[in-house]
Amino acid sequence: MMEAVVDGLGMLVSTPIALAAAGGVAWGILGGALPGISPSISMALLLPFTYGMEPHSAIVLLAATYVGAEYGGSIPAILIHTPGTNAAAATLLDGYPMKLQGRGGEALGISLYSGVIGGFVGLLVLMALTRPLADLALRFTPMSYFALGVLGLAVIASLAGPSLLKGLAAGLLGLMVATVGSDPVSGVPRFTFGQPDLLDGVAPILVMVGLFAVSELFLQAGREGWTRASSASARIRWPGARMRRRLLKPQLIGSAVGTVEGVIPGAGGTIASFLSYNEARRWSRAPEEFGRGSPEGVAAPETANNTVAATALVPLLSFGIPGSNSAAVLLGGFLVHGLLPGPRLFDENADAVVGLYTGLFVANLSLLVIGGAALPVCLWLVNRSRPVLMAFIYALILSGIYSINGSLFDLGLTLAAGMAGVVLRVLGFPLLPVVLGVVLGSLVESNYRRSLLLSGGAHSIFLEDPAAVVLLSLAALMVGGSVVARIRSGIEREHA
Amino acid sequence: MPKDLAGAVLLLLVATGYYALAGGINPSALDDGVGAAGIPSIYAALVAAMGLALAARAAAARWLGRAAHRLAGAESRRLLGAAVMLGIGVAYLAVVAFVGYPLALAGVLAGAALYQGERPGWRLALIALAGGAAFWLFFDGLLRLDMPSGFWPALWGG
Repeated sequence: MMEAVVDGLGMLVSTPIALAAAGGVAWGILGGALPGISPSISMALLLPFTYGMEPHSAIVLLAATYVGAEYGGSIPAILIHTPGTNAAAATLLDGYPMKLQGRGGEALGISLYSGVIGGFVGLLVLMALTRPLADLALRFTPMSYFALGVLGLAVIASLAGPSLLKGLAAGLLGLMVATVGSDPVSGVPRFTFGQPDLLDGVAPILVMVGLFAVSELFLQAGREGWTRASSASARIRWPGARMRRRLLKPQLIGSAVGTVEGVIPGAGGTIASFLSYNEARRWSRAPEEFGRGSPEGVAAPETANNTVAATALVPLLSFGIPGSNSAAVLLGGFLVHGLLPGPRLFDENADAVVGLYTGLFVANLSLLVIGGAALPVCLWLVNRSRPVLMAFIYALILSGIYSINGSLFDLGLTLAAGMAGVVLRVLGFPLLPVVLGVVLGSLVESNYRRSLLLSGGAHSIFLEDPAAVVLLSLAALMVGGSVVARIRSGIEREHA
Repeated sequence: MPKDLAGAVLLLLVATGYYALAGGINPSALDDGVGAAGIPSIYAALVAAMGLALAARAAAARWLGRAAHRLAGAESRRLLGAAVMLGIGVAYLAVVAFVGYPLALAGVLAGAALYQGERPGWRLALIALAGGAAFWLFFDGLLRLDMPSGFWPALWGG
């Protein structure tokens, strides 16, 4: 870990990583502050523009956007009672009452201060956990890699939505998309309809932007506009020494919950925020203040969701499995530059990992400054006409996707992915398993077929590899446990 | 219509179409034991199984008299709204090579804003044209990306 710190300090001087970190934080805050624009959408909007960038800066830009968006979501939650992100919904519970009491600036200060603390704790956990887990994954054989892909899909499908069936089906739909293009063994074209543009397959970036950004934009068409914020209490007030002491306990709770929830794929910042809010209330000396403007009720969820912004990268960097929508978009950023997150990244592109750690460090530092400076811009944006703002976001998507390869075909694919995302969301299918299927499809198929080549076609080879047995058993347990839990909760509802 | 049933129909349609297309994949001398169509056939079967399971769940809910999640009127309107936004995007794709990037994008800005409730008028026209020009200056002028220029160069003898 110390080596990474020393290398990172060197990187700060030699590359524009600091600039990318600050730029990402600023973009993330603006995106997060707009209700309906989640961290993953803010990142997806930026993804096409990272093509021309140097890889380290591009990845830092995306990761820093995640950090900024988690704080940005709290601004409309506190000021206009509309959470900018899902995770900020817990912040609203006490942030908005504080604003009504004329303490909006104080709530924003607590949110920013706690977010920075959470970000640094998350970074430390990320640096401590990732390498040992990646070393473990380095011993994997093709059988274990296949099993790892299956486990990743099983975990996300089980946790991503209320219906296990729909989660699994969504993952399979993603795997289907991944089969488009040349066959990985024989090179025969599959599902290309004679289109040369499809020979290399469907780029994950098009699916990500389509499913996350375009589908959200399409679904928001015609929805009621958000209320306009007043500019009152829009100056950040930093917590004093006494308040900082009071916030220590909820911040500890938020960090602990954010660490656990972030490392588990599929859990995410929203669950972490609400869990930490509940725990902070349970352990508070003044639980009766919660829901009526308690500073602790702002600190706990904000610490938790910013901790998650870093710890959610643990499964991505160690195993190459993104545990959340935002981590999936960050994976897209790695793939765009020919980098494959996972155990080999540490040996083949250690610079990228160190650069990411450095970028996250700078991003959290710059959040302190940019968080305050960006507030007037956020308020200006929130006060713009929503239809015009949405139209500009649409124009940004159309321009960004075209700028990747200068291809109108790519643009058509992205729009089609967006509409598919709308239909899937309306029918209750989660989108993250689809994206994960697209990303992991090649890993699952090529390692499955490589394993069978090694065994001469005998499936028993999967039972002869201890790691594969453990991972496949975990996948079966995950799905089985999820089925049992859902049956139980159904029975409980019947008796309620 | 219950969402589970609609989802089941969608999955069965996708599985059937995908399986039919997988049957058309050419065999190769370089094929392994699984073959290029092997994995797609497995996926098609699994998706069909998921579709049948969803259909069974919808039927069971109806048989047991449980309230099912249905496609509400608001959701149908959202689907329609999404289709209109998609239409604006498709129209952009159809005309951008002819009318050029700035003008086509101005059309997107005006169309999308109008559809989402912005009042028509000079102000909106100005915002759309200024937006199209600003995007063009950023992408074509600043980032030096070759955005579609349409008929304008020919008009100016370029």
